[in-house]
Amino acid sequence: MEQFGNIVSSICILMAWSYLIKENAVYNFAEHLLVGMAVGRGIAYTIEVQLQPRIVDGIIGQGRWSLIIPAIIGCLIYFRFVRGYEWVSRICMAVWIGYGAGNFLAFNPATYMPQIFDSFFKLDSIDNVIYFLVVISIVWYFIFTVRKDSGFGQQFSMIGRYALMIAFGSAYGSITMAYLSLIIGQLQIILRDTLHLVK
Amino acid sequence: MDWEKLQNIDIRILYVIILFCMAIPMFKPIGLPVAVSENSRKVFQVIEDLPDGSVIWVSHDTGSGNAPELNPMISALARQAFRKNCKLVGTAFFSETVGPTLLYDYINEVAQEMGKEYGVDWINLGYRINAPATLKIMVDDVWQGAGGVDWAGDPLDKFPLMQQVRSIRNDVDLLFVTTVGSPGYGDWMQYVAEPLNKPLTGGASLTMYSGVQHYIRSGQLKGFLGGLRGAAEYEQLVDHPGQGLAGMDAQSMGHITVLVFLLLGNIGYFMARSKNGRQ
Repeated sequence: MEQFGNIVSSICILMAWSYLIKENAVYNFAEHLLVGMAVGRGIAYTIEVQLQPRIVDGIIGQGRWSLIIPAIIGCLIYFRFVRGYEWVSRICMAVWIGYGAGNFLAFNPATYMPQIFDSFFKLDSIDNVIYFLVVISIVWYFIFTVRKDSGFGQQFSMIGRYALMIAFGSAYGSITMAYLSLIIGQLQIILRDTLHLVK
Repeated sequence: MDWEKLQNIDIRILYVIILFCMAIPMFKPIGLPVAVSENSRKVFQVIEDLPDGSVIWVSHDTGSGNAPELNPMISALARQAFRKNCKLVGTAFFSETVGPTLLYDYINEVAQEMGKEYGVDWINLGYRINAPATLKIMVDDVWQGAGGVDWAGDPLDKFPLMQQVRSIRNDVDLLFVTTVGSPGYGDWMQYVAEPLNKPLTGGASLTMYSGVQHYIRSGQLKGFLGGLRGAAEYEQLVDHPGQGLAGMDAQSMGHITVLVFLLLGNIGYFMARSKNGRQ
């Protein structure tokens, strides 16, 4: 059974890779297969993990009637389909965004404050001086209310822009490396697990 | 020479060459050296510094796409932890099937080799939906957060380890998280590591390498394993080469190939520009 799974995986990988030659029917089939399976699984999973334990077990089985309130608020989203009452669906989003904002304010400072404190240090090494200059120049770059079209302000803003470009370049390089790791994983499935050509 | 041709190599030829170059080391490993970075060393050291018998919370928050990068980290962690008789409590918050299954397979392989028993030395609590909400519950009540069962649906009261682990707050000494983004280190810091002052370490897909540097610098993340490379370095530190080191030859060959073509493309560009300038 495991070998059958590996064979199916390998075939699907090759079908997906066929896109690299050009878009074709085999690739489209693999794409539709993936989307179909994901949606089917998502619906089944939502019923089993969300609706069944919360509504059937929680509300009906254990009598946790307070769960009806969020359930009703959640159902309001479907008012999008009721002509003339689309505004009702915004209540659902308002509650969600309000919860998100409150949660953010309550918990996020604990995460960000150490990083802010970490920005205050002695300029006693080249690393720290560079770090300091980069932080200040990037903050300066993002201040748009001050004109920076000449002189020192422009030059300093330019340093911030170059620092950002280096950071984005580094991130892009990391992503390229990560994608190569993903290819290795797929090659291992084909060459090692399915064909047993490598150890 | 027509330099412009170098800038217009058919992309399909490049794909084939890259694939070919990456596949060769799988058949015949080259053994390219892998230097150990400071970040990987920190991960190893923070675990090494734990007292024997400590409890490590390991969350394998990955899907199938990034699993080849992150799985070797779990094996190496299990090996290092079991050598120190540490206990492992596992969860997965990204994928309901891939994360818990791989977590079980990779720890179980090492556990069987080292004579460690499921439920006594390690346990897999599996996937739980809505990581922030579950983490907030597990901080004070792991049993409630897990719904009273492990990943296979067996009640937690039958496992001796879970008599010892009731809450993250009181019973867990270190958090080791492998993540592909969301839930990520931010979630673990917000709800667990920062409020409880618990050390947090782990690894992630290399796509996140730049994005976690500020966490490392501020000390909120105790070291970091970056992708397959990080896994390979960690395997070296644990002194047990595995899938991470095996994949590094292929990855290094891939990088060299990409760099060669980048170089060729740029040479073509500058030579063509210089030729056009002369004309």
